[in-house]
Amino acid sequence: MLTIAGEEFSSRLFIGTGKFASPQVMREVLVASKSEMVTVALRRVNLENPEDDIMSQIDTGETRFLPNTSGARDAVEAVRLAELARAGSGTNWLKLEVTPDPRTLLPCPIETLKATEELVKKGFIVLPYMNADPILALKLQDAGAAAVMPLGAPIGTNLGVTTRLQVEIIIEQARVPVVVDAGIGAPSQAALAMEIGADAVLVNTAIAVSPNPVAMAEAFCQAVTAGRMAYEAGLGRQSSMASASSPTTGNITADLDFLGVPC
Amino acid sequence: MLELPLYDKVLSQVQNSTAEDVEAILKKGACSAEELPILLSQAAAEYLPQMAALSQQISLQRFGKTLQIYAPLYVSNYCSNNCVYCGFSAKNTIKRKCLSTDEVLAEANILYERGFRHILLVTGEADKKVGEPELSLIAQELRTKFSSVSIEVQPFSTENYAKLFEAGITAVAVYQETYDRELYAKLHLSGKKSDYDYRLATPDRACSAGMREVGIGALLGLGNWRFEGACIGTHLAYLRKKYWRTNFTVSFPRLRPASGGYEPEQPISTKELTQLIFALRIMDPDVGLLVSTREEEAYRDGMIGLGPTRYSAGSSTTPGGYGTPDAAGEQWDVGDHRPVEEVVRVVRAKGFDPVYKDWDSTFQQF
Amino acid sequence: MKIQLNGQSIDYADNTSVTDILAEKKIEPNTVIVELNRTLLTVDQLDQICLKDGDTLEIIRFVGGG
Repeated sequence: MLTIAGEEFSSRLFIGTGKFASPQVMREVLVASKSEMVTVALRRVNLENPEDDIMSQIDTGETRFLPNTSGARDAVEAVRLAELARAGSGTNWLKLEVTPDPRTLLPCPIETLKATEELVKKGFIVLPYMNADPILALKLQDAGAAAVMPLGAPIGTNLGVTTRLQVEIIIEQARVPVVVDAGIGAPSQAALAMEIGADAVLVNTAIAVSPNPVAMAEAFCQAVTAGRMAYEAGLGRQSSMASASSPTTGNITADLDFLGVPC
Repeated sequence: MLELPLYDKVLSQVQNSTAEDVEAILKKGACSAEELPILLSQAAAEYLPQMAALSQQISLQRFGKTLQIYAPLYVSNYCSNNCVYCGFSAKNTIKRKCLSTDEVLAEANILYERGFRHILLVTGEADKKVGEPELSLIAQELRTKFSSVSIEVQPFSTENYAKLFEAGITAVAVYQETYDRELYAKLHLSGKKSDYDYRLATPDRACSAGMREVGIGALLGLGNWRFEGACIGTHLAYLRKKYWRTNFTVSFPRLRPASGGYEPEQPISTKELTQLIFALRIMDPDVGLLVSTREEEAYRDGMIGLGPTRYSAGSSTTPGGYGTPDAAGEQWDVGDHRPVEEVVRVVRAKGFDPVYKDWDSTFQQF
Repeated sequence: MKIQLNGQSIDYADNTSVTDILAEKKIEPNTVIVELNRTLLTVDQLDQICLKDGDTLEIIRFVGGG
């Protein structure tokens, strides 16, 4: 069972709700994915053509609603969006995204840390999206983040966990759940993230732009389950910091004659 | 929260460890704190040369071909505790000496002339004789000459550790002696040291105060070494996770004859000590491992490169002992009596670089 | 009076309330978040407060996002 900020989740697959063809598809995807955590964004209402309210498509009984601060370019904007989100949703859970570069959408470490510190003080449950920097992950945890969300690759690139080594270090050092977010383009990539010890993954683009999003959602659901099972079945992967190549047992030995006893 | 493993669970895990379990860890090349008892088992003892090879490989990768050299400087052998096993125990009639600041500087100077740049101040636990103010004063004097000044003295409060850090102390060593609570109570009859929990939380306080490095360990020979080893592993993993900015070391003080004439209840053989050292190295590739002059020459020479990363050399375990050997009561008998030049010669002969000065404390903002 | 509404400058009659604007646009009040001059408005305030010339109004809602 995954626990974040004291709340339990049976599913380790989180879904982003962007880029879907229609709200109905999004709802079917949520069902197929069995996800219990979905992200949403805040935008100005298009007053000429107000779209359907996404909230009506999400069953908040089963699913936790996680507003994000996408669009924020610095901590000030992020905090403002957070307050709006809290007011609009009634939840203090927040996926913190501070992405000053609209081309790469990579998260700014400095503003993310600043915003986390401030938002934690304001009583938010903060899940910061971050580049896979192990030191940043530690500092975010020190600041009170409820989880950390290192990226696998930039949003929408479908490149998988290109940051594997750093993510492994983050996982090893983490005191809170680690959610690999962004860049996961295929179920195999999600499975890999789980196999190296991630507590959950967040997938959006790969499902939303698939020709068959519902089937893809189900595939991801199975992949995440399989990956986690494999991880738990093993003895738990150890630190990637010791890259000692394994000695073939019995072949590689060191000289212990100095001990003066048979070894 | 630090949750030490349960005694019976550890022994049971040790008993039930098989050759396959050991081989799996050796193959993986890594070991968690939970798995550590496997490497401390009788089954693992059959794989000592393989454990040595893995420990050697990891040590080489993380530390290169270096061995840090340091010297202990005993400032005082006064002690208000009554530890059944220690030469400095309050009830022992030994010649007591507490060095004045000038005397400390004189001793330090001898060490400086011999080339040492890392110095470990040691005292018995007698706050009135040598407390934070005295240590801070010494640190302020010594930090101009020495790259690092560490302490192995009585446990302090976080506040006092912060003051000591300001003054120039960068590392603190404190050994739980035995992690076995019941045994601990029997051995530490009076004095502040009788508080098991306060002592156990000492590394936490030192880390919280900003110490760059904290050393832990158990006095081998008191309790069951496999249990102590398992606890050291768990303690280390906990500290590393919680205090990620801090560097950690483990020492392996082993009971030897002392003025008090205490016979260790559960002596640990040299082979077992070796297994413990390799196991901890495999569990934690980055932890410093200290082997002092308690151990014999041949042993220390043989272990170079296999796991340990720091050696004391030419040590005296009595206050004023560098200037005036036999000046006062020793804490324990030295096993490796060689002067530092001799030890260093061997280190070099083995292709290792003896590091007198690992880093410069002037880079640190005080 | 002229107000800034979602970044656009729009004319409205004096004493228009936010509720009036939402009704005009056929938007359910409880599906949006309203910010007037950088201050969040509660649901009650939506028809109590009358907009003035120069006010900045943001009408925001949750949308799909990653």
